[in-house]
Formats: sequence, C-alpha cells, structure tokens
Amino acid sequence: MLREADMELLQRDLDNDLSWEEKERLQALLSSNPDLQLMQERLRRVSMQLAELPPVTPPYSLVDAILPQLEKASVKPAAAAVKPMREELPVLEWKQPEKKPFRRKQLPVWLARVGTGIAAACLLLGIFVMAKGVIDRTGTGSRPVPVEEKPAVVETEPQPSAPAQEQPDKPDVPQQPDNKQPAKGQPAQPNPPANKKQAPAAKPQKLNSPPAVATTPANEKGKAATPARPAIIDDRPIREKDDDKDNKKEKNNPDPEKKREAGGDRKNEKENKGKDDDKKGNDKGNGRDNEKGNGDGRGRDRN
Amino acid sequence: MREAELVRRAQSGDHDAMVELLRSIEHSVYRSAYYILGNEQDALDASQEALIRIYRKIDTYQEKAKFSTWVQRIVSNVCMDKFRAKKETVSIEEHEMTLMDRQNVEDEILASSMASDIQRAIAKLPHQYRMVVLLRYLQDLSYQEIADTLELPLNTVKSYLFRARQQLQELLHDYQKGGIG
Repeated sequence: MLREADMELLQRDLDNDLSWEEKERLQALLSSNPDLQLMQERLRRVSMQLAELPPVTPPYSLVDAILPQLEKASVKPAAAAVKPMREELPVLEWKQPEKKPFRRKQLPVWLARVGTGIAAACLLLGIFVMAKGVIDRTGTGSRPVPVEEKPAVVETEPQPSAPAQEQPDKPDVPQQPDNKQPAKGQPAQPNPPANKKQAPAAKPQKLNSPPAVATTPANEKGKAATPARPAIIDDRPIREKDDDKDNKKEKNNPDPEKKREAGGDRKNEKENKGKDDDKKGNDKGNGRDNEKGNGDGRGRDRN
Repeated sequence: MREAELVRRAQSGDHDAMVELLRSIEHSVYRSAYYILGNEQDALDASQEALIRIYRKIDTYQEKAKFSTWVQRIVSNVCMDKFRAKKETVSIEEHEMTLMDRQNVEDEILASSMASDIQRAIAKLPHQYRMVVLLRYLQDLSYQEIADTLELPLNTVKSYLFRARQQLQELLHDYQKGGIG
C-alpha cells in the first residue's frame, strides 16, 4: 500500500516541485518500496504523454473567421449612436397598433357625427314641417276663428256686430239704433274690429242692454258677466254657429223684417226672462250661466 | 517583448496590432479548447468566442499576470460555459464512480477508437481536473498560475492535478492491461 505522503512526493517530483531534501527522502522511499517505484514509472509515463500531446491546429484561421465580427464590434460605438435612432422607430411603430383601435374608435365617431347630422336634419325638417303645419293651421284656423267668433259675436249681437264686420254696407242702418242704445249704458267702443274678443264681449252687453233698460236686474247681471261670454261662445258647436250666421242674415234683413224680429226678440227676451227666473232658482249667484243660457237659448229657440 | 508591445498597441486601439496579437495566440487557444472540450467543432466555436472576448476585453488586461495566463483564463471560462450549456457537469464523485466501472470505460474507449489512449483518458476526467492538467502540460503553467487562471486555491489546484494524473495513470494502465488502444 502507498501512503498519501509518498504519493504526493511522487506527484510533486513530476512537477519539479521538490526541494533537495525531499528528493533525497523520495529516493530513499523508492529504493525500499517497489510498488512506489512502479507507481512512479506509470505517473512519469502519463506525464510524458501529457507533455507530448500532439499539436492540434484549427482547420482554418480563426482570426480571419472572426474578423468581420471584430470589425462590427469596432464599428459598434459609431453604430450604437445610430441604432438608438433606429430602435426608437420600432418603438414608434409599436404605438401604431395602439392607434389602430383609436382609428376604430374614430369610425363610430364619424358615424355618430353623420348620425347626429342626420338627426339634426330630421329635427330641422320635423320642426319645419311642424312649423309649417302650425302656420297652416293658424293661417286656416285663424280664418275660421274670426268666422267662428264673428258668429259668436253675432249670436250675442245678432243685429249690430255681424253687419258691422261681415256686411259693412248694410249695417249702417241697423247699427245706428244699436250703437245709440249701448252708448247710454256703456261708453262707445274705441276699436271694435281691433280686438275681436273684446268686441264680442262688449257687444252682447249692447244686445242685452236694450232689454236691460226695461229690466234693470238682468242688465246688472249681464254687465258683470260680460267678460266670460266669448270663451263660452267659442265652445259651441259649429252647427250652432252656422245657424247663428243664418240668424244674423235674417236679422240683417230690411226694416220691415226688423220689426217682426224685434217683436220676436221681445218674445225671446220674455222667454229668457222666464228661463232666467227658473235658472236663478237653480243657480243663484251665477249670472254668467244665466246669460249663457240667454245667448244659447236664442239660437236654439229660433232653430 | 514582442507580445507585450502588441498588447500595449492593441490596448491603445491599434486594430492591426490586435489582429496580430490574436494570430499569435490563435493556435494556443484552439489547442486548449480542443483538449478541454474533446472535439473539433466545440473547440472551433469556443476558440472563436474566446478570441472575440480577448479582443473586447483587451482593455481590462493588466500586466500583473502573464498575457498567456490571462488568455487561458478566458479560454477556460468559455469552455466552462460550454460545459454548463451542455449540462455535462458531473461531480467528481460521480465521475470517479463511473471510472470504477471498467465495463463503461471499455465501452467508451471502443466507441472512440480513433483517439489516443491519453486523449480518451483526458476526456474521461472531470472538467476541473481536465483543465488543471491541460493548463499544466499544454500551457506549462505553474501551480500558482493555474490557481490564478482558474481562480482556485493553490492546494486545490495541486489536489486536482495529482488526482487527475492518478486517474489518467489508472486509465492508461487499464487500457494497456486490457490490450485496448
């Protein structure tokens, strides 16, 4: 068996790492130990083979092979200054895909704009149509309104108002007596055609006023209720108003007929008084309703 | 003198001096890589990579150590990286266990009949042993230079070298005893 210390001496001897004393001690050990001599022989052979390893050369020049890389490496500092600029471009290109969804978002914006434009156009058209319709209605409606109001006025004022507006030529004769009578009860109307609503409100008083001269209580009630008449008159059906127009025409007949109608009016007034008395029992304090009944009753009675 | 002058010129940025310097160490680098890695292709790759590293790190070389020692350190590191990449690193104990199996050794020798006994034996050494032995015999480095090159303690280098030679002696004895090679 070989000791580790003896093996170390052998190994170090191969590397020429022994001192003079260590070499003498190793020689003494080798002379007394044949196994150690055999091991020394084997290690020397190994060492010789290692030292005589055949030289190997590359099949091609390694330096020539790497020269392009070396030149690139030497150029790198200069290229490095340029690369960042080139590297920033791809960074900018990465932002493009982010813009794509933004573009996609822009599409609905355009669509929304178009939609809003279409909606605005539709609204404008609708407003225009509505406005036009309103204008047409008001234009056509305004025409009948005065027509409707006129008969309403005529209803309340069968004799004076209708001829004054619709037949300006004829009313000269009948208006005079009517205007004379209201002039006593009420001040003269400054502009009857200017305020059509006011005219019918005032005119019925004129109509009521002549009979009111005979009966003061009814006349006082009529004065108090005059402002509400036109609204109520407007609510009447068109047939009644048309009938009233016919009545107006009849009222506007020449003087001989007036006398007859005057008599009829007196009869109607008497009837209305009777009705008023009946209604007074039912509706105490509602002078307006009583007067309404008078206005409506005339047309109905005639019909 | 010539080598030291080339090193200074290369460090100063002389490209031609750098190329000349690389040409002077080219064969030495390849030889170490070839015996460490055991095959030509890996040796070529490792040698080129080592030369490129030398070119790039020439500024970091200091004259405290021999230029050859500094170059061999780079070669050794590149070869170690190759070993790690191949995951061929096997612990010394495991390698010794495989060496104890004579049948495996014979199989390996038969598989590489073209290589000499010593080359086959070197290929069977652990990486650290192999590198220490090759640095010692191929580059004729002292214990201390090997320790500096591989950044290992001096006693560790001695231990690795002694064990490597012992294993090589056993392997070669076995080859001769078995009539192989």
